[in-house]
Amino acid sequence: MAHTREIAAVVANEADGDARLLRLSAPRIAAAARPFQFVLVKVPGGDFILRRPLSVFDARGDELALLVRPVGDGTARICCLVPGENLDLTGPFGQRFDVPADALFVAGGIGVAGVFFALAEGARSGRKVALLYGARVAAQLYARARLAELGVEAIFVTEDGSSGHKGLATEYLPGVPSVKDKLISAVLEEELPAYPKTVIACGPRPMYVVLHKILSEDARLYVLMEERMACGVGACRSCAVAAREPEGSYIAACEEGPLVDASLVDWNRLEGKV
Amino acid sequence: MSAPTSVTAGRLELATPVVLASGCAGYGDEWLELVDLDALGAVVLKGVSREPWPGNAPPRLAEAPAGVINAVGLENVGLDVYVREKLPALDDLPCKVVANVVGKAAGEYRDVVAALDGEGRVDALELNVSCPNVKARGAAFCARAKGLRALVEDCRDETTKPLWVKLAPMVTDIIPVAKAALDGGADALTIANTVPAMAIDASARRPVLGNVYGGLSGPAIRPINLRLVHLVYKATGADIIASGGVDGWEAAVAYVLAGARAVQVGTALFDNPAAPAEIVAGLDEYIRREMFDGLSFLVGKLRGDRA
Ligand SMILES: Cc1cc2nc3c(=O)[nH]c(=O)nc-3n(C[C@H](O)[C@H](O)[C@H](O)COP(=O)(O)OP(=O)(O)OC[C@H]3O[C@@H](n4cnc5c(N)ncnc54)[C@H](O)[C@@H]3O)c2cc1C
Ligand SMILES: Cc1cc2nc3c(=O)[nH]c(=O)nc-3n(C[C@H](O)[C@H](O)[C@H](O)COP(=O)(O)O)c2cc1C
Ligand code: FES
Repeated sequence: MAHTREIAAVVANEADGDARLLRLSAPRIAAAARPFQFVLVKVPGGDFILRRPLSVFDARGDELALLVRPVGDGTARICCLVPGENLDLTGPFGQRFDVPADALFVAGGIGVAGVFFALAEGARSGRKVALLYGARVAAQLYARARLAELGVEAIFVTEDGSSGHKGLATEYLPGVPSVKDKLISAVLEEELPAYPKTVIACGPRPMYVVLHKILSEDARLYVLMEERMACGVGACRSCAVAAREPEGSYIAACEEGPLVDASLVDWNRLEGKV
Repeated sequence: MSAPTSVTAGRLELATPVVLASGCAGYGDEWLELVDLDALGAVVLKGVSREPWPGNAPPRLAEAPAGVINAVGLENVGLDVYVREKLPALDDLPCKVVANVVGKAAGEYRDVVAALDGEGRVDALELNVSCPNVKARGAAFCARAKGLRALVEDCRDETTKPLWVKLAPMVTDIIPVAKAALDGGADALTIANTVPAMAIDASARRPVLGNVYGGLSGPAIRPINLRLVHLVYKATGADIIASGGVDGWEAAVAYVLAGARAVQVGTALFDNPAAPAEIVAGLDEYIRREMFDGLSFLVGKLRGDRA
């Protein structure tokens, strides 16, 4: 656990496509944070009660990085912070997860924020890590320079073909009979078996639904669940994800996730909401 | 002499008048690392029903001006797991523990109260009577004074522990409802629960909440619940625990002046987990500055009150 509250100082706010990479000095949270965990960020200005959940993009030494896409008032204000200003954080929240050596990461758009820390840890420890990364347009393929620096084997896909391959990331999954192109398999063949045994995904909900449908039964799928959150500690039950068992029940994404084993999810109920 | 912020509310002695509100404080131990539990008089646990309730379909949260709308739907593990797993985890909690009880029929409340009467870790019970009563075609238990009195009487028969009844704010006239709960044997009233509300996403042209309707909490409802506390205090003089938008010591003092003996903090935790400790410190300073012997001397002491 080790939840804490920390007033972080903004060290840098850098543009990355249409998002911002915030580098913060937050020694306590940075030291405790693990891949897939998140922080709850108080929106500057004091008009909002609910803190915004943001993935720990990276944590090294005293520094905590967040990659934020402005989609509404809260994230817009967070994106406007300038170096020297403060940000009130709580966290880190969520379960730790040990990434199996043969895992394939799949990200969609800003979803790369949820898997970057795991990719970076893998790469820094000398492991080969592979990422299949799709977005609508080139400006929404984030962190490309950082991924390249780390030596992550990344395949880029955009819906409009403005960068990388054209289409949806899920159409380029290796070893899946329904995919258009076997190109990825060729590129990643040395790193991955004929088809991935473990897929770790972070992106829009429809991407998860497709992954769940097309991956073979013996592949394990883990998805990072974005739900509206209030407490982050499992107390309020706001962040409910439909669970398979017991029937009709829910998982608290903040506490039991946010990375959730897809086999625990009730996809029939979830798809109704997509 | 007792500490200036200690109070008794509904036969329960509280080291401080700050109580964590039901549904925001989980089963008592989730917030251990972020909320200073030593600052609290008590924690009211998540509502418990006889059988487990799954809760509502997500999304369960919407933001509102100065508030939050929730439609969690009283998701809870049910009485068995509550008694077997949740209560034993609270042995080291430094404050009092209040069990909040929910049900869809009077018999369900009674069974839960009877079972919890034997639990040493439960210091008091709070009945959430805002739930829809299946027998009354889904109308809330507190919608009819007569039915409410019978429900409280039934529960009173099953326990000697302090019994609080948590009222809903949306009733035509809260005074008969409050009196019915007191006549039924309530030791104190919690005033009040969330205000019925909804949110619509204009772009999607859809309700934000999976359940369409939810309950509004936070500072937005404070003026509403403040009036209800005042009305009930003037009409009955009952022990009242206030709930609704307490986010600082000024809000707590306002509720005490209106007639409350203690306050519950719910939504404010999400914004600021240090709120309970800050409220206690603020109250302490206020009492010293204004030179009162203790907070209990302030209850209902509103100046120029011509209502
Ligand atoms: C575990 C987790 C990790 C996340 N990581 C990132 C990240 O690293 N970078 C990033 O840019 N975004 C991330 N998000 C999404 C981000 O939380 C939302 O974009 C943000 O809350 C929107 O707030 P807003 O005020 O800008 O939008 P508004 O739409 O005005 O927000 C209204 C309310 O809805 C909630 N809300 C809206 N969209 C979402 C959403 N997708 N997920 C959860 N709550 C939402 C808000 O928190 C707020 O309470 C993450 C979400 C979760 C749950
Ligand atoms: C997420 C959430 C869940 C809640 N669950 C319960 C509950 O299970 N039982 C109950 O009696 N009240 C519940 N409430 C109401 C609170 O206990 C409290 O009375 C109300 O939110 C008003 O106080 P506040 O403005 O301090 O939050 C809930 C409130 C919220 C925000
Ligand atoms: S956000 Fe409160 S339980 Fe998950």
